[in-house]
Amino acid sequence: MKRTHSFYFMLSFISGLLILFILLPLLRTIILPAQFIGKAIADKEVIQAIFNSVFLSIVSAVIAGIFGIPLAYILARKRFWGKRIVETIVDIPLAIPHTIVGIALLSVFGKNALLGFNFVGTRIAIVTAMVFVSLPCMVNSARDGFEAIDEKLEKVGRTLGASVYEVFRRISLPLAKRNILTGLSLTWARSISEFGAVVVVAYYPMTAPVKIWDLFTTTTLKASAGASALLLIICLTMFGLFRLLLHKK
Amino acid sequence: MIALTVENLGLVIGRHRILKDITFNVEEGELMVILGPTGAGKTLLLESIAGFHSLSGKILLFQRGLTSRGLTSKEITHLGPEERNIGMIFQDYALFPHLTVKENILFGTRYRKEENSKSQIPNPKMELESLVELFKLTHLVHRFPNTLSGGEKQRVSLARAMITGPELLLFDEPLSALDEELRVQMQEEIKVILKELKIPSLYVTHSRIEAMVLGDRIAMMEDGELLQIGTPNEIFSTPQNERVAQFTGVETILSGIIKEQKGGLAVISVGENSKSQIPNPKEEIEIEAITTRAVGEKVTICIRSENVGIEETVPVSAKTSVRNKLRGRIKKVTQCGPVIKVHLDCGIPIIAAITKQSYEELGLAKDKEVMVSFKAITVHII
Repeated sequence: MKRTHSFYFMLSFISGLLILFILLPLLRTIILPAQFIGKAIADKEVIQAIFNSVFLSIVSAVIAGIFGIPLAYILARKRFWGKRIVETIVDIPLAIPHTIVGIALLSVFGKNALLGFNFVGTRIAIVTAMVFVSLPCMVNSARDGFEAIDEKLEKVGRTLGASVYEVFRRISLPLAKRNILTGLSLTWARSISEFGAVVVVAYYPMTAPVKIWDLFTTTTLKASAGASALLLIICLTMFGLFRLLLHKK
Repeated sequence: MIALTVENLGLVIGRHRILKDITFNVEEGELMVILGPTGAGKTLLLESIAGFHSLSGKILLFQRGLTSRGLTSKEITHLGPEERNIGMIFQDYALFPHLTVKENILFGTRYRKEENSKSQIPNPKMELESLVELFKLTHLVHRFPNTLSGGEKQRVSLARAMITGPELLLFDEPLSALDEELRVQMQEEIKVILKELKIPSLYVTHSRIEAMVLGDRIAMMEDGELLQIGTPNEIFSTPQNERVAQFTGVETILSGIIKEQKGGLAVISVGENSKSQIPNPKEEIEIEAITTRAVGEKVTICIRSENVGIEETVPVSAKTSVRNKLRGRIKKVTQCGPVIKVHLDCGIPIIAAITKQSYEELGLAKDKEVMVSFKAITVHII
């Protein structure tokens, strides 16, 4: 008994350290003298950048959902030659430095590049970068959701007269809803926090992380801290609300 | 009248031939049980009939027209599951967990309205009410499946299938996950409901008891092939090959050669018994059985344990109808629920099933010598 107690005490202690490690810097950022945050709110450029971040990351999450869910379903349900390869490709964005992602995107969508049009410095470029880095979250989460559905439910739907489309719409999608929403929230979180890939393809229009970087390098730490606190509060609130919504269901 | 015809059905998955040349009919209103061990291909056969696999061969459904046209047949071999009008009940009932009982039952109604010839659903709500009543689900309609008991789930899944007016119902081991008591109760329930609804059904199980209780006919399946089709009595009393005999619980299976034929009553000589430790006056053992097979033919002898009697080793002079009497020694005794299985060495291995009472009355024990007897008529020859 004593041993069990000491074992779990040790685990709890280490876990506690970990949680503190995550929370401490964040709390330290948020708990700022109000004047810094006030200054950040007063700065039109900061507000514009935060709006860009919030809006474009939501757009990215929706696009990732539209393109990611079909692939997730195929990966969950079908066996085919090269499936492993496709799964690996889906995970690649997680494994490469995001500045490289930016450069790679430029080589396809940049000036005089493969596709012959230049998207550098546009909102489209930002969304493209965000989708690229966050797609794995969407696909993997939705795939887990579809895999967890008993195939018999889909089969019984067919025997009751529903076509594959109807079965997908009325059985698979609703049953994977929680995973899909989780995927969307992770995709959104990944998108709004993206800096490396975005800064390469579009310094302007500025997203919040780029703006904060800009403030950090050109002005003072305190100026960037105000903007950071603001973005952090918005991110945490949205993330928290989303989680709450998920758990309520 | 035939409701379903399956002709030379074949299914190949990858390099494996899963179903081999399967042919059978299901009659109108009949409950046909597909009986076989795990891995026989039973579930894949059901799924093939439901439309989930591409097949060789032919599947025909016979619909009873509403008019005087009588029977019309429809080939469904290459139709999708949603076009076949065949209902399927799965092992754990596969109720949609995100829908209430009512929504589950109504699921199929939006797809099967106009095309249905057998039981047209002019007003799904009416149909819902009568089905809910028939299946005793009235108080459950607003509940979600995870709050239902096994029996309730089964009734919901049946009602959900029934509302679409299927021309055939397929059951994939619906009772195998239940405990013994509930299983017996639900067998009865299914039987009563199916007789009432008169829908031809195919019922897959690996339990021979369930097959006997439920089946109008049984199709015995193994390794993707149908070994024998017949009434429960035919399958259990007159198996056509050794595997059917084994699976239906024949415990003594011997090979022999017909030695003499006396107009239907044959004397069969059963193999040499060099391994036996029992001194036997005859060098070879003879068994009498009813068969018309010719002298010299090789046969398989099936003796059900419950048809074997054990007596004390007193020479009996009185004539009885028992033709087969052998002296033997008890080698092993196992208790199987209410009966005791006695493994005997009579020169040939024979198993007898007797009640506990007679076991005690006869004072039986291991290594005791006894007389073993069985009537010629109970010996089945393959």
